Amino acid sequence: MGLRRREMAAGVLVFSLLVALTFAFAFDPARLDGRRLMPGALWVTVLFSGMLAVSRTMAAEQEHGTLAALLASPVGPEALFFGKMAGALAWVALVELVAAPVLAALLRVTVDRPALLAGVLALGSVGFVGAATLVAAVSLQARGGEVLMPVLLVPLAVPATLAAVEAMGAVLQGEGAGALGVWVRVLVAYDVLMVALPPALFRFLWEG
Amino acid sequence: MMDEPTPAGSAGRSGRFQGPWELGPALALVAACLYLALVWVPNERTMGVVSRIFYVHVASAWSAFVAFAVTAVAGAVYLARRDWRWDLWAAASAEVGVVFTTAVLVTGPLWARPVWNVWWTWDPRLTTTLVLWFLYVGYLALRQAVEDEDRRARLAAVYGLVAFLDVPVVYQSTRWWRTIHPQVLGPGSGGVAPEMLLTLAVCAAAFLALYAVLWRLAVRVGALERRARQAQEELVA
Amino acid sequence: MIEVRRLVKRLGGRAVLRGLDLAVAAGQCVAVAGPNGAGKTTLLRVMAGLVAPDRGEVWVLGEPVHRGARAWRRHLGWVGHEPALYDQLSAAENLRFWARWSGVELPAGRLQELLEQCGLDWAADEPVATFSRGMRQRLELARALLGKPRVLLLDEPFNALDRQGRAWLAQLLQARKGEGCALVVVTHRPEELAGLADCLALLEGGRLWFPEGSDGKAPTPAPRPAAWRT
Repeated sequence: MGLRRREMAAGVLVFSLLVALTFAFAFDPARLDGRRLMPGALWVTVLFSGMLAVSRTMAAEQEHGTLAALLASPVGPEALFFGKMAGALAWVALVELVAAPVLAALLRVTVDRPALLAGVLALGSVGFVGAATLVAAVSLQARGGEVLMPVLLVPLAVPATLAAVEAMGAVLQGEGAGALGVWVRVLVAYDVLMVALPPALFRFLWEG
Repeated sequence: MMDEPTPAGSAGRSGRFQGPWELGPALALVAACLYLALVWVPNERTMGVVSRIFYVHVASAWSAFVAFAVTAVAGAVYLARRDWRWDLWAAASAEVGVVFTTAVLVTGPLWARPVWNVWWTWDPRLTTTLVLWFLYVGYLALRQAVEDEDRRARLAAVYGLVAFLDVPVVYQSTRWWRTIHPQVLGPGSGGVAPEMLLTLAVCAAAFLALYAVLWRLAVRVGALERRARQAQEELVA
Repeated sequence: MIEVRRLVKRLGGRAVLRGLDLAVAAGQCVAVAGPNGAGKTTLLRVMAGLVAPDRGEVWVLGEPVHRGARAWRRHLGWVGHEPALYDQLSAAENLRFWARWSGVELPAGRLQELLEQCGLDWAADEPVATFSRGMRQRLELARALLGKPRVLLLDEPFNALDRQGRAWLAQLLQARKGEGCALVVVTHRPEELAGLADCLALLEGGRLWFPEGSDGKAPTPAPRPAAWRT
């Protein structure tokens, strides 16, 4: 399911680079500590590109007759949720893979523990993409859904935003396991919530 | 109309407005709350006169939370039963909840300015309340943006449920983020005078009663709107 | 195979289906016609389990459609208003995707057979975006027939097809019918189903009317298309 979005690939990648540029311009990395800017910049990139990707793939299903056929198939709506989520997650991972080194370079940050940073970013992305998939499915059935989506999603994603940014900050500042552990716990709790709840609720979204 | 399981007329029964005296008990309680909070209760030692706003602030917050809990539960019942009245009850509760949340967000800064010397701080409870406000303003915006009644009810119920379950995580994350909010009733709080407890209890009761009355009115309005819409559709058909 | 009992469905406060009954046996084809907005598509969507009824029941292959049962869907072929195809994928990729999604084995031979059947073997690797409406509709039918369905629910399947395509489709459906498949075809031009449908049902006022004067069951001896009114 993740292979159908070649058309979007270029657009979102360029977009993530533009976010990086904007952050570099807005907060002069020569005077400000880049390690303080990077978590926020990276998360904003994830937030926007994730939102764009999820809403595009969901809207594509609704424009064509594919949604009805997906729902009429022997696989349950849960599978549809997980398929959409997996596709978007793969996409977000790709964006992160590109955006993280670019941001680090532009903001003059040397990442000492890249694996740890990637882990934290992954934990944050899972819950966020889960929530985004559900919200996209909800909001795109409404008038002006593309505008409604961020209005519904950003408040819902507050725990992921907060915990991911703080945890990435802790990693970049070289803080110990204690400070990191708290945020990892929030991220795990949020991931569990946003991966367990939407598939159970997904079937209610499309039966009328 | 044939095969109409819930005739439009029954909408009135659940929320029929009996007249202004229905507001009586709630208004009496609110008056009692205001008297106790503004006149009777002694000033808090360090915060002085501004501490009196605290009773209204906390009572509004509790009512708002009750309102959103009702929205989540009514939404879940709707998904199970598909009776439009549960959706109406959920929506009405969210509307009133947003009003109370707004009250919390207005009274908070009024108190914070003299005490903390800032209008706004990113304290966990304030932040959570703000997120709560965004979540349910979003809930209402979603309802506005869906034409079809059944679809609106389903989408709103799903979002209301997820939003409500998200709140504890929001609270926990903002709590770890920073904590400077006074823990009035939590562990580590100093002694609270019995007068203060009594005032808080009366105010909580008053705001819950106010919630109930406003909720009934909102339900009534929603039911009438629905009836008007149906009558219009029948005329067109 | 398909049984619809006392079906009630309201949309936006208006009762579209008002206590509707229908039974379709194996190897039978029912054509559902009716004025625009009568609820033909809604009826089909309820039967496919895409829309929950307000009252009444739908049973397909002995399973209650709206109580969480899903096994029957393995035997359902669905063709909606819009073809369920992905523009960026080629014809063959579309079929492969849908086979994988529905858990249907699709060896190369079977894929080739399906593509030939719908006359698109020459365009197998072209992206669907370049297809004409008729080609899409042919591919859509191949998609619906992927899992060798025993129940086919089709919404205006003849619409996008030219005369040759319509003849092809009628023949295709006739063959499925001969193999014991139950068909419900929504159409605004029932004459297209002459010779294929055993029974015409008119959807009007939220109920099905059988011009042949049956009691809600589709009559088994096929009434002659000549008697049809539209």
